[in-house]
Amino acid sequence: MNAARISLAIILLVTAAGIFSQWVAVHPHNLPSGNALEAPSPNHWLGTDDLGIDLWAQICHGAGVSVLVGVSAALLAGIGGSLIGMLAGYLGGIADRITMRMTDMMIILPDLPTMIVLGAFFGPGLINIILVLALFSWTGTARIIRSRILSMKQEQYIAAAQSYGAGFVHLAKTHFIPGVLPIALASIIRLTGRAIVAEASLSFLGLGDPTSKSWGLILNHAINFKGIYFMDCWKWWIMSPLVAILILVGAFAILARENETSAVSAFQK
Amino acid sequence: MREIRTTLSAISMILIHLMIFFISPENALADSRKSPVVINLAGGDYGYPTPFSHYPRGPGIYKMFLIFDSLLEKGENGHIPWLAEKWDISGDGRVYTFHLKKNVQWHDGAPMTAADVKFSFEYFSRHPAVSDDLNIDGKSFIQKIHVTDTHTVSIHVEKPFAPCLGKIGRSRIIPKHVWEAVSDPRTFDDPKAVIGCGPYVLKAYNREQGAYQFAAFPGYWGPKPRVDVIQFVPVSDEILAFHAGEIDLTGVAPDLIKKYADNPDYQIRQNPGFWGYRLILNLEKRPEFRDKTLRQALATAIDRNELVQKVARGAAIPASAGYLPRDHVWYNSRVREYDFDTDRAKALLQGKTMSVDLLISNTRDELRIAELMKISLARAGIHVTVKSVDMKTRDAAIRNSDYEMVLNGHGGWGMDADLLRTVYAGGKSVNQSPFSDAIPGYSHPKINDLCERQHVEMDEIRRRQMIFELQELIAEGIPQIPLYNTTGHVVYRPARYNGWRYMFDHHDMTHNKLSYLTPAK
Amino acid sequence: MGSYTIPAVQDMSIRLTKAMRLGIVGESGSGKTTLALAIMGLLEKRASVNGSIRFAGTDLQQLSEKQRNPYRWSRIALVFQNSLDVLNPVLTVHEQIWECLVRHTTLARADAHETVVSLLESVGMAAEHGPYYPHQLSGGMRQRVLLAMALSCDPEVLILDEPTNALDAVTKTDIINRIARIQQEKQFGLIVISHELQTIARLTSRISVMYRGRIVEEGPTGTMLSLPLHPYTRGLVHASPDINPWRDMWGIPEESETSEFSESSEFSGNGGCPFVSRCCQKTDICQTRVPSLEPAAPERRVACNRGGIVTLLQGTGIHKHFGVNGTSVRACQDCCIRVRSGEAAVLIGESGSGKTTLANILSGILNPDRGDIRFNGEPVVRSRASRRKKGMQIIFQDPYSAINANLGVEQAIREPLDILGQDLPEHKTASVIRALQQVGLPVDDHFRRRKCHTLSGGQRQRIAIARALVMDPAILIADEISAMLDPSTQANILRLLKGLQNHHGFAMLYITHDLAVAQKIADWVYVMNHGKIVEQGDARQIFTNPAHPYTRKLVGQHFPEITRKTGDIPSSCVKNKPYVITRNPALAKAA
Repeated sequence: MNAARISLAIILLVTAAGIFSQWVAVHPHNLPSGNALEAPSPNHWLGTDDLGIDLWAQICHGAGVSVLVGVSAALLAGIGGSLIGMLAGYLGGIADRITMRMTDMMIILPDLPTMIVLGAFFGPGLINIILVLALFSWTGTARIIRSRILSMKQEQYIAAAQSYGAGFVHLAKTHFIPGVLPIALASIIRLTGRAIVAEASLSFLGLGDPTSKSWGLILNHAINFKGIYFMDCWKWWIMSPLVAILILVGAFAILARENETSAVSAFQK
Repeated sequence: MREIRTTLSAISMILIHLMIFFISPENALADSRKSPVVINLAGGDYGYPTPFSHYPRGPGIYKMFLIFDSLLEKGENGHIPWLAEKWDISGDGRVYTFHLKKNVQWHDGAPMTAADVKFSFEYFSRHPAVSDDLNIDGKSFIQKIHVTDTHTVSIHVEKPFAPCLGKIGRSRIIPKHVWEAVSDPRTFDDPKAVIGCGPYVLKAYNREQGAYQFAAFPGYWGPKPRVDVIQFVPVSDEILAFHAGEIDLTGVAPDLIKKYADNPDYQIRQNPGFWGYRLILNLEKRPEFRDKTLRQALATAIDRNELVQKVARGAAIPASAGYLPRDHVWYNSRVREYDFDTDRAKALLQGKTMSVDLLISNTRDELRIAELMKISLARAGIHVTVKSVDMKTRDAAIRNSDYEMVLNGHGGWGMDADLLRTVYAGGKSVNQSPFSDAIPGYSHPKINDLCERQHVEMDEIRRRQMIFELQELIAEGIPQIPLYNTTGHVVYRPARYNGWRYMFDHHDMTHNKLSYLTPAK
Repeated sequence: MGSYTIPAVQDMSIRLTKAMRLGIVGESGSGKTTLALAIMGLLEKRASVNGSIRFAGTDLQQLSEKQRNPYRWSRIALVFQNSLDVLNPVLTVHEQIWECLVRHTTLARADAHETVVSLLESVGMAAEHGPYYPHQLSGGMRQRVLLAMALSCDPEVLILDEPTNALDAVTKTDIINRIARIQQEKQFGLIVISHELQTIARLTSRISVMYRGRIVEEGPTGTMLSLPLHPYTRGLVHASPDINPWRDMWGIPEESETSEFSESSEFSGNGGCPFVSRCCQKTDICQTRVPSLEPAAPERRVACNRGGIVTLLQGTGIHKHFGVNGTSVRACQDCCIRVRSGEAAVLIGESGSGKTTLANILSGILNPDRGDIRFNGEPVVRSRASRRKKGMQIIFQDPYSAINANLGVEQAIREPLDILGQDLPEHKTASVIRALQQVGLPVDDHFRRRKCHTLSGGQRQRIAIARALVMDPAILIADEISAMLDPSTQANILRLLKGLQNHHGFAMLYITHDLAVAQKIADWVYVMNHGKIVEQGDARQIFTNPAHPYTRKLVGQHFPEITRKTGDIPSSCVKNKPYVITRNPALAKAA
């Protein structure tokens, strides 16, 4: 529980840093504020990149991008997946089989390579990244939700509600959504972590939004800087976005795990 | 679990990069004296190296050149005799007579004769090569070709013009017995398609990996190849690959030069500035660009020096507004310069602002250039939206004029000054190389006139005069904005191979056929 | 007292043939005694009697008081309702009977003394009791004296008014036996007026049921008691401990206090069916139309606008099979079942016999492979019968599954109303509160907001019942609703349900494997085994005299003492229809 609180605190801090990046960082994230490749100093806490832009400002701004992409992709995938899972579980029959075959397919597809292909196909851009990430993340949620709905459908209160003439909307509103909310929430949290990594990976590979200044893009620029490994600047230029990603994703992973354990234990009560 | 794995895979990519650096041994050099000389260079897919299917960029063109010879070759100071032993130009400048080397044979053993030369030129007029030199404004300038005997051929041109010899001399000679039966050379990918009479034979090509292997042709007529095998291998990072001994020559970032500078194991060479970036404006898509003042404002609002310092890390020179680079033999140093001055740019704009899309390819340097330009242009009131796509998409967009403003980096800036005609005078070219990309919608009567006149001016002095004047006009009108020419450094291990040489008009030693051949005395 | 008239008996026709035994039943105040007095011509002057009373062709009503006297006592005798003041307190038993003999017969005075003794003996009294005065006698003795007096004139018709009222069981049985024997001997016509069905059942062959001065149903005693056709008759049967000794007793519901009956409309005779306010199957027409006695079954007549107790739920030829791992399990085979208005039908069967499947099919949750299910005559398709008020509701076995534990109490109960979406929110809340009160749960805000997972199984089952009640069901299907509860809670839930049924008058199909429970509540019993209904019948017969081997085995296991008493199965039944044994011809026809 403690771990969850700390994780939550970290996530909130990072989010706040992203939202209030203009005030958290002294320097602008998009304009040079010093010489190129300055080492960390009291003025530039994490140094500067090749254009002389403050890295701390970029990390703070990137936090916003990462959290935005992560959360919106996860929400989109989580809500979409939940809805699809609910419908599949509720309707059963052909609709269910089609959906499940689709998720089978999506699960077999190696997601990162396919995301790379799709990312290249749709072109870079934050919205596209979010859509592509969501497109690849809904399946897990849909499966879990579907199986939960299937087990809920065995419950007689569903049969009872149906005998009162309840349709999908009522069942979803009164029974399904409150019933699957903890699982959906857990899977959204888990997806958020995944989406952040995936966005970073895509940006790192140059398929992200070139102007988004996300952590992956900072990494991309750093890695593609000729001879970065032979220079000192990798210590701050590569490590700072890397550590930022590790911390945030780690926090999400721990939160997801804690949330799942508590959801499971609440379930077993 | 899954997210952790994804994290790990992303991080491990970076760590592997780092580790290679730390563990890379100072490669123990194999005893290369006895064994065949094998040169490894950074690969990448540039198409099947026939004159019709290679990718129209330097690495593609010059791989094809290893297989196919031409009548003349480019030396360090100018054209040198190659398949043609010597040549005569008629007094009116309309008949070029070439005397061919006698013992030239194709890779399949057949002798190369004047009939092949005649066939090649006639075939190219019907099927322009990717890197075409024989068509002007969509029409072949060659009137007829006369085979005097097996080793003599005369080429009649419609009218005399200046770069004519270079153009004829650069054209590849292809085997008649292979190509005469081919009706669609673009799709002809038979192994016979890479039979030439050049010093190297294509042994292997892997499109997916971008790997090529060339072996020396034992029956080569000319200077004996010093390198037995040239391999283009896929590498992720050139420097690391160079350190690991995977490749034998690499471009090196300016920040790293000092690492090699005082080490006798390494030789550093600085490339001439014949490769560069330019910002092409589409006057058709954005008619606002027809306003010269706006273009001048644009040029004034961009800080070329900053680009040179930050993106090229100093290893470049700001490009001349007159397009011909400062290293060009005919560079006019008196052309107008647009020094960076935001206030002046604003004054030129008179308070106007505009928003424009900038198309770039998603390479690191172009992203950085775009980022910096975006900042400095925004200060002057020009708001740029950057769209980054992969290189081939960007090149296709340029060919279709499907952009508002595009950033393009390419070589070929050192070629014959006639390239000003194709770029600025709207000359239609079937050459697909990026250095001939024109400016959509730009037409200036004086420039057009001068371009045409220099084209047919056979007097070297007077032509040079015209080119100088042309550069001044171009710099004043600035219909496109040359940004900078890279003067990147390359480093190689002389102990491994030391035959690297430049051509007079090209920036890359690995593109030079002579680099691999025994130098003439 | 005002001077309005009260119609004690209205439009009443009875017919008594020689040696016929007719029972007239009804609650106190239904006009039974008035009828008896009218026949006897003993009503006082302020009572007016219209119509005719014919005795052997003579209309007694046309006769003067004097002309009538010979009929009275000597041809038509009445045994008054037992009380101290019907006997002359200053005469001894002997004198009283003697006087009666002397006055109404031609017997000589001296001979009469011997006759008195033999009369006393015939009613079970010794001659020694002769000198006793009435106040010295017990109630049973007095009853015997009254009987002896009535028999003294050797009448052709004997009218007994509550002959066994307030007697102990032994005396009662003795008196009933004697009356029966005497009737057998003398072959007089017998009219027994009583609210005690046991007495009626023993003494009569036909019954007329009176309610508010009218006959609401008449027919042969046997079928009347096992399959009443009028709700009132059924109510009387159910209220009688004598008919089914195991069943919990419930009186007929009193008139609902909210009913808008004024005295005038109640008694004027044109205000509609007299039973309407207590009826569980009333419709609009019952408010305005007085039903007349109409034939409803062979030898049966019933006065009901709806033709007697209606069949609410009827399933015919229901088949259902499930595929399990490639093999087909037949859960229901040709099941026929019907539940009548206000009736508590019980479906008994072991677990796995297909009870729950049948329940789900009947309630529309499952689709049968084949078969016809009708609710109020309309086919039941999915939720058509259950998604409306006054419809069909099912309560499930497992309260933990039947109620979504995440919902609040009120939310869970009002769910059907929410789905229906007809009522205003405040009406819904009012309905919920009413339902909570009915199932005996707290109604305060705090409780209504409580999440269901904080409640016990018994409480949740009550909530499930409340949820069904807000829909004001006409029939409730209760599927083993107490099976998962502890015995005490089980008992409470059962009592609650039965009480609710009695109060609301809804019909119920109760499904259970527990015979003890079935006995407590069943009016009609279906026995199910291996997907088939093997036997059905009224509860008393099933439990006392099961016919099908399976039923006998089942009953034998639970109540060894019962089966020992039972005889063989009627072999004809077994031959004719090996599995379904219908004992009642009326029902057989209806089904």
